[in-house]
Amino acid sequence: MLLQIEDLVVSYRTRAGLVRAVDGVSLSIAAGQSVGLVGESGCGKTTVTRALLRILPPNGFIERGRVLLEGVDLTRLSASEMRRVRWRRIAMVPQSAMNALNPVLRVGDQLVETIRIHEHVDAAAAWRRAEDLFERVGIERRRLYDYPHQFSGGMRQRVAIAMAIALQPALLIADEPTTALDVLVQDRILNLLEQLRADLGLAFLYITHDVPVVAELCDAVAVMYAGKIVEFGPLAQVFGSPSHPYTMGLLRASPKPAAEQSELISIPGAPPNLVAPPRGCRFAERCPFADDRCHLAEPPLEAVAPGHLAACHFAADAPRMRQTMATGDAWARAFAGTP
Amino acid sequence: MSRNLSEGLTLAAATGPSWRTRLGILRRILFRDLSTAVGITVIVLFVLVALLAPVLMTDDPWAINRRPNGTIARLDPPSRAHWLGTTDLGRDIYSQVVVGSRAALLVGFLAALMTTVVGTSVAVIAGYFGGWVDDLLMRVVDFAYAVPFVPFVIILVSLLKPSLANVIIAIALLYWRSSARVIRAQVLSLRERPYIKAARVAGAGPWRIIYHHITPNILPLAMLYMAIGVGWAIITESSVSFLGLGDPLVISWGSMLNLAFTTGAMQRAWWWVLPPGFSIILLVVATFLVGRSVEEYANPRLRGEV
Amino acid sequence: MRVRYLLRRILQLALTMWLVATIVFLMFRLIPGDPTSTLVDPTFPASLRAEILHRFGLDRPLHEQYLTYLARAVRGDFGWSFYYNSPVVEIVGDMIINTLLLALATFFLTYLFGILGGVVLAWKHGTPVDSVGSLVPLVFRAAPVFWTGMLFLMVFSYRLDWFPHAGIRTAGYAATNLFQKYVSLDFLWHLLLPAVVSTLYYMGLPMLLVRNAMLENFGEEYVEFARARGMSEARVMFRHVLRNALLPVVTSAAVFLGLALGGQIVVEYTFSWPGLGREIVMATQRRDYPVAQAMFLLLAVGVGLMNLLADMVYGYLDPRVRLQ
Repeated sequence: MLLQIEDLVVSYRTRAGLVRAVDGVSLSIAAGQSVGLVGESGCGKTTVTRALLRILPPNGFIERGRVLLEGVDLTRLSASEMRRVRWRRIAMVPQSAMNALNPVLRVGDQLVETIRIHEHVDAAAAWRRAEDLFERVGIERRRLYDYPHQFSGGMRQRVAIAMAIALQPALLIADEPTTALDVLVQDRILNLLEQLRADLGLAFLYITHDVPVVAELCDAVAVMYAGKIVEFGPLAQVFGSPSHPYTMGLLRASPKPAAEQSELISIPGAPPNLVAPPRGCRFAERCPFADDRCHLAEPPLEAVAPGHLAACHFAADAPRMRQTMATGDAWARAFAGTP
Repeated sequence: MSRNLSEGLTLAAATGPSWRTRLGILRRILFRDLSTAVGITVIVLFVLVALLAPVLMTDDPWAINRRPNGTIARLDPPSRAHWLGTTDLGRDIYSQVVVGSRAALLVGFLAALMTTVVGTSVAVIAGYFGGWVDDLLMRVVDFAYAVPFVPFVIILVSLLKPSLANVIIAIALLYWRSSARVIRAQVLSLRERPYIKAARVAGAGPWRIIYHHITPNILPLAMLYMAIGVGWAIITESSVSFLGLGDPLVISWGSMLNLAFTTGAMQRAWWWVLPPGFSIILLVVATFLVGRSVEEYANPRLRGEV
Repeated sequence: MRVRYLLRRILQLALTMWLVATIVFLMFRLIPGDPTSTLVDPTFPASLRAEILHRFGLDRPLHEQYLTYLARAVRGDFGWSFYYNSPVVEIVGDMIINTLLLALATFFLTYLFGILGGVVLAWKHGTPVDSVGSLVPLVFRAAPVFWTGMLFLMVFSYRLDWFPHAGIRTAGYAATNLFQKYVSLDFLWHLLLPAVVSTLYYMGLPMLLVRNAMLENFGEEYVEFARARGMSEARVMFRHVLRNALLPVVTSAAVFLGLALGGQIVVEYTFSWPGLGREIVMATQRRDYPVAQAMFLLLAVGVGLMNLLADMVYGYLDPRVRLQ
């Protein structure tokens, strides 16, 4: 395994109290594999990436757990050792390159700087590499001398991608890399990422709330809800035969290719307050299938098929739940009376 | 959110904060944290000292004191008779420091008040009426910025005749520039707020809008400049006096330091140098502390109400 | 575009200077009492006064005087000093250099330590370093600069005898040429106390500005992204955050230079530094108004030029402004 996250707990100190944004997440990614991490905003997926790179804000800290990269526990590295892991082994494509790039430095300078803090190459060689990288992601090399605000949104994202692959990392984290873009540009950026993965043999951790994107790009998928992973497995199994009601809802909430499009729903309710999370299943409040047990005991993440895990007391009943979901409107019935 | 509350909020958004709510928030902020409370306490103490100076003084500050053996008490260190020692002419330094608070507070508050009134008026008129009025007034501000402040005050005071009143006038003539520029920017943004536009459409006259809608909103900024202005005016007055251009008939902390400096007594008479200096620092830091919390109030972003 | 902007700014500056010169003219002539008393020593006998007034054209109508005054000011002719009994022009040369050197030294030290201090405060945000460190500049700012100067003189000059208490050169020190006059240990030794004292006074402004601007930037995504790329904390602070935080600081530099040149008066006077500022005070005390007037105009020109310079630097530092 390239990356193994084991029982990771990440908390933020806030005025309201300790918020466990990531609560016991385990996940693994093999070399060259592409894993999607899906969930609503605020479910803790961005915190996972911050914890991986150990760039949590000052009030955030890793409470527990291990992050093994090629067998080395990143949570135990010293600050300077960790700096050598960042970007050389794990790089990321940010959500919005507009905000992630320094507005007062030329993009070329930022790219060259990134290369030169990790590798002992002279400036000229680094600039040559920067030119190659720009061509690789489809930007003219002369644009190295421009400032971030002079690029269009899609071009800026390409700059960020060039930067991400500059040191040939083993793992690339893409945190909603296309949400800020319009649809046509999104497609082009996704194609570029897909092609780079094939060419360079990178492993991908794809963070998004966008189900179709995961369906298109990923080999495996993890569904996250309120700080926990509720379902994990190969793409075909998780999206083909979802075993957790949240996954089912998420799929029903996303547009599909035209032919099989059924009515889009939105899951009623809101995720629980993570300062004082509920005792049982965190999804119980919003789940049409929940019964007393769900409110009292937390379901463990267990195998429903080889390699396919789900955290639901009724996982064995998944076919029936899928049936209810597909035919009737489970949420409409369960929540009759709520708007 | 309950219906009443949301209606109340819509209403508040429609009319903007009133004088009452503004003053209420201001009061809460002023007494919230320690540094502000310290600042206010120190200022109040100095005001009391200035008011009660005749009672607090142990001696006539101009009196030339003599030692028991009849010689003039030149540069006597602090003693029971003279708590903070004496000057080269045997004058009681403690009494001079006490009476010096009057000049400092008088110049500080009057100059700051004049500065703020002028600056705010210019800002409101320029910002609200815009057009050529704004252009003209802002060019005047630019021009005021081109004049070196301390040299201007010194020369003007010396030309007019050194007196506290002239120091105040000289400070006010130039110092309004900074408040005018910043407050005008605020007025410009206020003018575009929906409730002010609505008031205009509803037929409210400009002065009515300025009084009811603009002024309560720029009050905190004006008070910030007032607080800072008090400190600056005190420092400026003491500088002018230190340079020997102050009112020769008034004892101020600056004029005390001027004598300690020009007579060369500072070489050993630390008791002549430290007390007036510490008084200035204490009073000015106090105004800065109050200013800082007013700033927190004037700048909603610092208050965490983005 | 940039050339046009520059030309417009220079024109603006010229206009402002004309206004300042006019105000000065009016100030010295429209004050209560006999205006000529500010220009010719009133203790001279009447016949001599009349002769001097005539020689300097002070008996002519005001508008004529105004025109000659402007024409002369443009040529740098500021009249005759009563005190030195020589043309004002001849005494200002050294003073300009002395004032500039002290102002530049102060500027350099203020921004060097102010910016470094601001970065440290921001870096150590929320620790005692920050809370104590933020208070120190406040106190030095509240202390009148002449008082801090007196303290330094009392301690370092009179008590410890490490530094001279006045002037720019040890008496009897003979420089063989201009270069040696200023680039000498003796000169630096005299420069140090006044420069340090004014630095302490002015340092708070850039320090707190840098601190606050950096804190505002800390939440920005580019900071997180820079850390994600494996940059050291020092590199993140100095190259990335500081660079963004510098913009408001540069704007403040314009205000600073204005303040420093104008406020230099007090420091120069305290340390008997023979510059324009001290000369304004001395001339005012001596009622040598032609000199005071000339010094005032020169300082105003200096302030105007510094503001122009700061505008240019601002445009250079912010690419978003630069390219518009």
